[in-house]
Parts: sequence; C-alpha cells; structure tokens
Amino acid sequence: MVLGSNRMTRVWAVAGVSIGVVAGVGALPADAVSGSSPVFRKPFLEAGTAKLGGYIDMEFVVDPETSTFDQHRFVPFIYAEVSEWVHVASEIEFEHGGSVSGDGGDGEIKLEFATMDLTLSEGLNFRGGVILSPLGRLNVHHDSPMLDLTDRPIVTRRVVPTTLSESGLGFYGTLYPSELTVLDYEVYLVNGFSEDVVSGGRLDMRAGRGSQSSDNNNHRSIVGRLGFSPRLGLNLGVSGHVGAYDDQGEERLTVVAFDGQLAHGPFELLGEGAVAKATIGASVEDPTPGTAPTDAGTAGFYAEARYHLFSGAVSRFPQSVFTAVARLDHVDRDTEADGALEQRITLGLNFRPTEDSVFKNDLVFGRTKGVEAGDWDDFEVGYRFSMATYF
Amino acid sequence: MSMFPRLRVQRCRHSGHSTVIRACPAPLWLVLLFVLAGRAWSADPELSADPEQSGDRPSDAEIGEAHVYSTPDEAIREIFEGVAEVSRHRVGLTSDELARIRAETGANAPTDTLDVLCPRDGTGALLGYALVDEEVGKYRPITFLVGTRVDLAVEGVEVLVYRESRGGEVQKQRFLRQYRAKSADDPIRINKDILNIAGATLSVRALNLGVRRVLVSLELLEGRGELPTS
Repeated sequence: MVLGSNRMTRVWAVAGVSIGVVAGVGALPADAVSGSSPVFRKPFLEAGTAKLGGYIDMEFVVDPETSTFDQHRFVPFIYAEVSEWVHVASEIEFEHGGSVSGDGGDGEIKLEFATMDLTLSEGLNFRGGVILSPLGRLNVHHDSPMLDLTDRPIVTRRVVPTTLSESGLGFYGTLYPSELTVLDYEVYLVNGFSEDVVSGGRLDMRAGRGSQSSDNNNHRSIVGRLGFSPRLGLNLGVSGHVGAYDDQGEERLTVVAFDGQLAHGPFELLGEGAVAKATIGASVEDPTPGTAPTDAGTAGFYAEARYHLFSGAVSRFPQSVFTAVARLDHVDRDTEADGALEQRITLGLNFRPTEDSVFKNDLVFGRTKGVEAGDWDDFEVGYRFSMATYF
Repeated sequence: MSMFPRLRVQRCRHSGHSTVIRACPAPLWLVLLFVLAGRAWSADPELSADPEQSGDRPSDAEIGEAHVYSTPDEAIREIFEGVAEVSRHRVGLTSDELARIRAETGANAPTDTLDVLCPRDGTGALLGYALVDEEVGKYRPITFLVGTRVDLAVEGVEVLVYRESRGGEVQKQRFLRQYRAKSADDPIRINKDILNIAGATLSVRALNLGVRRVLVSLELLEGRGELPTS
C-alpha cells in the first residue's frame, strides 16, 4: 500500500518538526555538562560488589496505517564482581511496558542474559548461564543507545532472531597476536532452536528460539563467533550456530553469519549477512502426498553507512555529535521459493548530547515481494522518532 | 489518590549513597525542580565533569593500580631510530603563550616550564623533540610522552604510566599510532580524526588533549626560536 499524499505530508512534517526540536535543543548555550561514560563501563551505581545500571528507550512509530508511542525497552543491568576471578552479569528486559500474569498487558519481562564467568586469563574465560548467542555482531551489541537507527536491521530479526539468548556453557577470550591486532572468540554449547523453527515448510527463526530450561531433543547445539581486528577501526567476524532442532534430534539447522565494521575518521561502514538452512524430514512436517520433503532456508544482509558531523559544535554539549545514517536491508524469507523478499532503506539523523544518550529521527522506505509474485509492491514510507540512554 | 506520602529512594550515581525523599505537595516539587534545574544550568562544566572536585571520591577498585610501561628514555628510543644521546632543554612559557595554549586546547597548561628532550643519532644530528606530559583520564593522570619530528609532526606517542582500573587499552600502539603525522593544525578529536575505544573514552579524550597541548606548546617555542634546530 502506498501512503496517501496527506499522510505523506504528515510524515514529513513530523520528521521535520522533530529534527528541528532536536537541533533547537542542541543549540542552547553552554553552561552545564555531565560527564560521559563509555558503553562498556555501565552501570553507574555501585554497592559492595554489585553494580546497577541499564538502558531505556522510547519510540514514536508512524507507519502507513498506524502511529503510536511505544515504550519499547527498559533494561536494568546487574553486574557483580564476586571475586577477582568470578563475575556475574545480567540484563532483565521489560518490553513494551512489561507484563505481569493476569494484567492483560501486551509486553513481556524476560531474563535477556544472566551469566557466571570464571576468568582464567584475558584469553580464557569459562561462562555458564543464559548467554547472548554470539551469532553475528549485533545480537551481542544490540543496546538501543548504541544503535544509530531505531529499528534493528531486518536480517537480525528474520535470520538471526535478536535478541537470541540461550541456556548453555562455554568459553570466550581475547588474544593479541601482535601489537596492532586483536583476536576474540566465543564458543558455547546451548540447548538450541526448537521444532517451532519450521512452519509450513518455511523457517520462522523467531518462533523457534529454544527453551532456557529444557532441551527438546537432548542434543546440544554449538554456537560461536571468531572476530579479528587487523587494526583499530576494522573488525571482521564469522559466526555459526549448528545443531538438531526437531524433537527426535534428526533434523539439522545451520546458521552462518558474517559481520564487518570499518571506521575511518568520522566515517563508519558496517554490515552483517546471515544464512539459515534447515533439513526437513517427515518427523517435522509431512510432505504433500506425492512430493518429497524439501529443505527450508532464509538469508539476508544489511549495510549501513554513518557519518559523524558537528562534533562538539553545540556549545551546551561539548561532547555532542550529530550522525547521518543510511542503511540498506534485504532479506529473502524463503530461499527455496521465488519471491518472499523484503527490502528497506532507512535514512536517519540523530543527535547525541553525550555518547550515552541519543535522539533519533528515521525515515523508513520499505517494500516486499510476495511468494511467486512477479513484481515488488510499492514502497511504504514510515517515520521513527526515538530516544535512548544508558543510566 | 493515596492519603499517605510515598517514599522514594534516590541514589547518588557516583557514591551509591541513598537519600530518602518524602513525597510533598506538587507546588513544592515544582519549586524544587526549578531550583535543581537552576543549579544545573549554572554549574561549572569543568567541575561537573571532575569527580575529584565535585566531592565524589572513587573507590580504590575504580582507581586501580598504577602501571608503569616505560621510562622517558625507553619511550624515546622506541619512537626514534638510532638514538645515541638525549639532551634536555628547559624552557619557560610566557603568560601570552599560556593563554594561547588555553585558547587552542580549551585547557590550562599544567606548568609554565617545559623540559624539551632532544634525541640525536650517533653523528649528533637532531632527530626531533619529545615532551612528557600528564592529563587526567577519569580520576587519575595518565603520563605520556609525545615525540615529534623536527617539522613538529608526531613521530610517536608512548604511555609511560597508566593509573586507572579501566581504559588501559590506550597504551597499545594499536590505538596510539593514530597520532602519527598529526600536527597542531589537526583537530585530534574523537569523531573527527581519532577513533575512540569503547570503554576508554575518557582516557582517549585525555590523550587527545595532551597531544594537542604538546604540539601547540612546541609550535609556540619554535616560533620564538627556543627549539634547537641542529
């Protein structure tokens, strides 16, 4: 469906006003500055060995037929240094206002991750708990204040179902092969995906996220990522998730992801690609009479360019920066069939008064192509305003 | 609406100390809000950003232990090839020069006297200049040495002492080599020509400021003929 001209006008007007408000606030005179803290040095509040922090985001979402406020995420962190060698880390996620049984709310509360680490050295750590699966880079580095656009890339929803947390055990570490290079790895055994990952002969990765409390087939899956940085500003990663997903433990799901990030001065280019394939036997779905079961697959990528501008130009916020962002998303939801494609182009301009807080304005142009459809549908235009901060 | 005033616990971000605030009628809250907003509006940015001066003392764990990576002599020999000797030239900065440093870097110079180190090779030829300087990261000073070529472009930077528990990645050449060939004309800022390290932002900013200050200082000294040229 194409937006009507009136709605289009409203979208552009809202976008313009919001950008103006952001710029106007940023242009206030300088006389108060709060210190900025780096992303990985959250949280701020410390009592004994435990530390408390987190992040919050709020979104205003305008789509062709709807517009709404969405208090999307409120995520407290709790970290504890139990001893020099033992650490506990956790994130509890309240989504869309959270939900308590019986209150009729449409949100959810979940333990996004909760891990206990034993540090043997920087290069060798043992970890157990609910683990953020190292499948692609964004699944691990997904906090709203870190991202420069409101919506996550489509590939990180359809192919890598962020946020993917799994119950398991494994190792991670960072190595320095030379003065200029860094090698990091994570590898875990986890419960893996469930049989719900296949539906109607197609993959539904989000529905197939497994249980934190039980393995449906007594066959562990393995997930891991190897990252290499040949120099500061260039990061490359390859990751994979392999294991049986059906209740009998006979059918295999394989996900492979590649990610990269290049930064040079005020310019950044990053992206991620992922492919998921599953074998489908009769134990999962009965084939149509007279046909053999077929495999299922999905694949996609995103590429995002960022340019930081007016760094420190707003006198009230000496650490402030504006960032112009453009992203291309492409996902094939069914690689075994023609069509079933999604594409999106997102243009954004955001403002960070400090590194930890961001106000985002995004224009979203999305289109789809149905299964066996000859042509793409027309582009739909949406708008997002969001704000997010660590605390 | 409840008849009983609600209690809220407010925690200091740095110290973690709790203060119980008893709910009070809305107008009084508004007055309090305006007072607090006014205080924030008029706060000195430098003082607000410095936990030492604002009275929030870091814990020992936050401060960490000092790590000594090298001496000035070792750092100079790491930066310059073929160093046979290093001479020292003590030079004073004038009040005008101190004001210029303040204007160009946004921060005061820590001293009005500089010890310029001049490495020379076996033939006595001048290889460049080096200055040791300090700048506070989050809580404690980072001590570093900046070596420049004779044309005052950076030849190399070495961290001599790092005193905080986090952010020590800035002592690796992986980060420090970004400063090579920078001059006083370059911005030397995050998001412009220096890549940040997540988790070490304050240390990166401190080194940016320190390197910029060294380059401006050397340029001023060269301008009035205080630097050896051979």
